[in-house]
Amino acid sequence: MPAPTSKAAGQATGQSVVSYNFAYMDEQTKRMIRRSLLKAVAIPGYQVPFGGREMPMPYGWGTGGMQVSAAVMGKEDVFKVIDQGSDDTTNAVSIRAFFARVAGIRTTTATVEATLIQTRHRIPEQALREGQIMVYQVPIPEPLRWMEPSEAETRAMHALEEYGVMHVKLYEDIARHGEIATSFDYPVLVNKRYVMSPSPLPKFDNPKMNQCPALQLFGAGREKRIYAIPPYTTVTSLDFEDYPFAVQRWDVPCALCGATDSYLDEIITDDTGARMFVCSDTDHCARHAVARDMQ
Amino acid sequence: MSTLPTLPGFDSPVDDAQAVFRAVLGAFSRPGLPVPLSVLPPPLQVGGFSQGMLALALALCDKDTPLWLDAAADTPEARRHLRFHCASPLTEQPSEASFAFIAKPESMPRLGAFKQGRADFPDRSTTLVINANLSASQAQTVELTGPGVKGNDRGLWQRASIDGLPAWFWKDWEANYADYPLGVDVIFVDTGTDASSTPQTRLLGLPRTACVRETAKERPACM
Amino acid sequence: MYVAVKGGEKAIRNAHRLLAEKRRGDTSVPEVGVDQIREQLSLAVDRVMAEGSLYDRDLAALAIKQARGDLVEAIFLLRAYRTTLPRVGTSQPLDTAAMHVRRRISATYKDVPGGQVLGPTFDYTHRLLDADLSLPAEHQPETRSETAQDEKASSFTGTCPKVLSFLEKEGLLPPEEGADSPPGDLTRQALELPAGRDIRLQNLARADEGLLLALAYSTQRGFGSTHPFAGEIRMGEVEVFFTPEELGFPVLVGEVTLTECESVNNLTAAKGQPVSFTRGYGLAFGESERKAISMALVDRALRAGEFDEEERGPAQNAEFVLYHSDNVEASGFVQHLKLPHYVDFQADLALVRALRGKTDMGGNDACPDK
Repeated sequence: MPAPTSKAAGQATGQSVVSYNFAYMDEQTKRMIRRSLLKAVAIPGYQVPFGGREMPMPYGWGTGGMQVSAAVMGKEDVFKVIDQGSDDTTNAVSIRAFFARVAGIRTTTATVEATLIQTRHRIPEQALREGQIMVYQVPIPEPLRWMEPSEAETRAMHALEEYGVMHVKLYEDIARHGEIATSFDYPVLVNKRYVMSPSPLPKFDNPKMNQCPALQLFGAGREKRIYAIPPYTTVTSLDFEDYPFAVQRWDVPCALCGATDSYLDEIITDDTGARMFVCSDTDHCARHAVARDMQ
Repeated sequence: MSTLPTLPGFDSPVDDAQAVFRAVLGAFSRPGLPVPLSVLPPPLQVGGFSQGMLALALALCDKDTPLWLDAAADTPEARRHLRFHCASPLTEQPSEASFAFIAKPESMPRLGAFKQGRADFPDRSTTLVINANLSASQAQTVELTGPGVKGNDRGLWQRASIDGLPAWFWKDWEANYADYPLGVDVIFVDTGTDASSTPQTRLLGLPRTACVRETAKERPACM
Repeated sequence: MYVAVKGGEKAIRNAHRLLAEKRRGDTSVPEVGVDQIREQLSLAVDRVMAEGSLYDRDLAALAIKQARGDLVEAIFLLRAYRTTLPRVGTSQPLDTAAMHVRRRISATYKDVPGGQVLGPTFDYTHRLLDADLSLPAEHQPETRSETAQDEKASSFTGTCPKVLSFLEKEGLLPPEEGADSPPGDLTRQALELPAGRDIRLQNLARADEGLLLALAYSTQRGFGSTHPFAGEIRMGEVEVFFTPEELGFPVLVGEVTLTECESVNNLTAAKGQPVSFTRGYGLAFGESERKAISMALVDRALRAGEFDEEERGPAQNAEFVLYHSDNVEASGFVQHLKLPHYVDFQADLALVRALRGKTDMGGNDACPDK
C-alpha cells in the first residue's frame, strides 16, 4: 500500500507558496488574543488564559510578547524592541526584523517616537506617555509559582485573594538576610486586588508601573497567559512598614553619558576584573550623551 | 452551495478589524472617555443593530463566541450577517453569551442576567455592547473613577454623558462593581443621533473596575 | 574607551550563513534529498509528524533536512508552520477498527481473528550492525530485494476486529464511551485543570516520546504501577472522512498511517459493579510504536483518580505530566537561558554585595523609594 501523500506538501516543497498574514498570525488567532486582552484590561493584574500559538521563535524567547504585539499592531504603529534595555541585543534585533518583515511596520530605537514597545527585562528610562503601549515578554506569569508549583492551587489562591504565602516568603527573606532578597521580578499588587509578576524587571523599574500613562500588556507564550495594567492604575510593590520597598542605586554615574538616574550594567573591562558601569537603556544613554555634549 | 449574495463587511478586513480593536482597547483603557471609531462596515438596512455594533462584531466575534441579541437587534438580516461574517452561534440565554448586543437598552435584561465569570476565571463573563447616546446635551451625566481615569489616585473623577439607559442601570452597575473581580464589562456605542456636529461613531468603555456615581447622588464607597 | 556593543544584526546574519554551511556538510558528498529522507528515514518523519501534529510526510522530511536531523527542532519547525494554517473543519472521528492493518499483534491471546501480523518490525532483528548497508546499492546482496518481495507477499492488508472488543463483549472491560460534547483542543485553548481525558490524550499524542517512554517505564518499576498487558498494537492505514457543510454527507479526503495501542490493565470494581479490567489508550501518526505503547501506559496511569487509586508516581500526576510533556515548550524555555540576563544578574550582584556589606568598587546600594 503506498504511503499517503499530501497535495499541499508538493506545493510547499516545490516553489514557495507559503505566505503569511499581516503580522504573521491568522485573523482568528488575533481575535482570540484581542478578546483576551480586553478582559485583561478589565481585570488589571489577573492572568487570562489564552490559546497561545507556536510562533516561529522558540518558547522562552518572547513568543508571548510577540503574540500580543502581533494582535495589537497596525500599519500606523511605530515599533521599538528592547532586550536588557538595549535595541541592539541579538534577540531584540531578531524580533524587530521579524515584524518589519511580516508586517512592514516602521521601527525605531527612540522611545519617544514609538507607539508600541516590546520589551524583555526593562522599562525605558524615558517616561512613557498616553497612547503608548508597552508589551512585556513574560517567562513565568505566576508570582506565587516559586512558593506553590501547582497551577490549580495558585489559581485558587488568586480567587480567594489568599496571598499569605507571598508575605511569608518576603518575611523569611528579612529573617534570614535582614532585607527582602528579591532584586528582580519583584511582586506587585495591582489595583489593590491581584498580586502580579512584573516579569523579570529589576525592581528599579517597579515604580514606573504605578499610575503609568501608557497601557501595559503582558504576554506569556509558553504558559499561555495574558495580563494587563491599564493606564493610570495603582501598582504597589509588596513590602512591610518597617522594611519599605527600595530600588537599586549606584554611587557612580554612567561612564558613557554621565546619567545618574538610570539603571546601570556592570561591564568587566580587563583580566584583572576592573569594571565600569554604563546605562542599560541604550537609547536613553545616547540621548543623554548628545544633550551633555551640546551644553 | 449558498446562493445568497455576498454581504459586504469591512473594506479591508485585516486593517479594519485591527483599527476597531484598538478603539475598543482604548475605550476600555480609559473608561468614560469617548473614542472615535475610524472605520465602519456598511450599515444594515433595518433593525437596531447599529453600524458601530456591526464593526465590533466583525472585529471580535467568531465561532468561539456565543452571541445574545436583544429583540431590537435580532433581525433576520442581522442573523444572516453574523452567520456569514462571524459564524458565531446565537444563544437565547444571556448567561451563556460571550457578547451581548443590545440595540434598545430601555428593555434590556438586568446586568445580573448575563454571564458573570467564576472566582477562578473572572474573565469568562459577558461583554455587553449597548447602543447609547453619548453626546446629547440633555444626556444623563455620570462620573467615574478607577483604573484608567487620570488622577484616580488623587480622588479625581471622569465625567461622561450616557443617555438612553434604563432607570435601574447604575444601581445594577453598583452591584456589578461590588462583585469585582466578577462581573460584566460594557462598551457603549454611540447611535450617532447627535445633530450638532458631523456624524461620527464613538465608543465609550465601562470595564467592571469603573466606580460610577450619578452626579445628582452621593458618592459610593470606591476602592 | 569602551563602546556599547553593536552589530547584532550582522552577527545574526553570519550565524545563519555558518549554519547553512554546516547543514550542507562536505560538498564532495551528494546533498541528501527531501524525498530520500521521506522514503529512507521514514521513522524520523513519523516522529516529527506525530509530535509536530501535522500529517505531511514531505514537510516533515523538509523540516528534518532543515534542522540538520535534530528531530525536536524539526518538530518545532512543523508546529510553527501548522499554527498559521486556517482550519477548514473537523474530520469525522477516525475508525481504527476499519484500519487496513500492516502490523497487528496481541500479547494477551495466542491467536486472534485476523491473526498476529508482524509487519515491518525491528522486534526480532539481531542488533548487529549490517555492514552491507554501507555499501553502494549495486554491491548489496540480492537477497535484500527477495526479502522485500517475500514480505510484500505475506503482508496482511485487510481489516480485522479489535482484540479488546472480545473482552467488551464478555463484559470484562467497560467499552470506551464517547463524550457528549466535542473534544477540547489544546492548540486553541489553554490547558485547564483538572483536564478531561480528551485533553489529556491530545496532550500525550503531541508529547515528547522520550518523556513518555521514561514515564511509562517508571510505572512499570513501581511508581504508580498499572500492571499492563499489550492487548493490541496495530499499525496501518485509516481513511479520513470529512463532511463539507454544503454537501451534508461525508466524503473521503485521504488516508493516514497510524499506530494504535490499547493496553489491558489492573482490575477495578466500582461500587456495586462486578470487577473488570481497565485500559489505556495510545495513538500516534505513522509507525510510532514506542510512542503509542508509552502513551497507553501513561494514559492509564493518569486515570488513577477515576479508579480511586492512590497517587504513587509522577506519571499519575496530571499537572506534572501535562505541563512538562511538550518538547517545543520545554526546549525553548530551557534554552532561553542562552539569552542575555545581565540586567537581572546585575540586580542580584547588587543585592549580594549589599547583603555582604560591600558597597565599595563604585558598587551599588539600596535606598528607600521616593
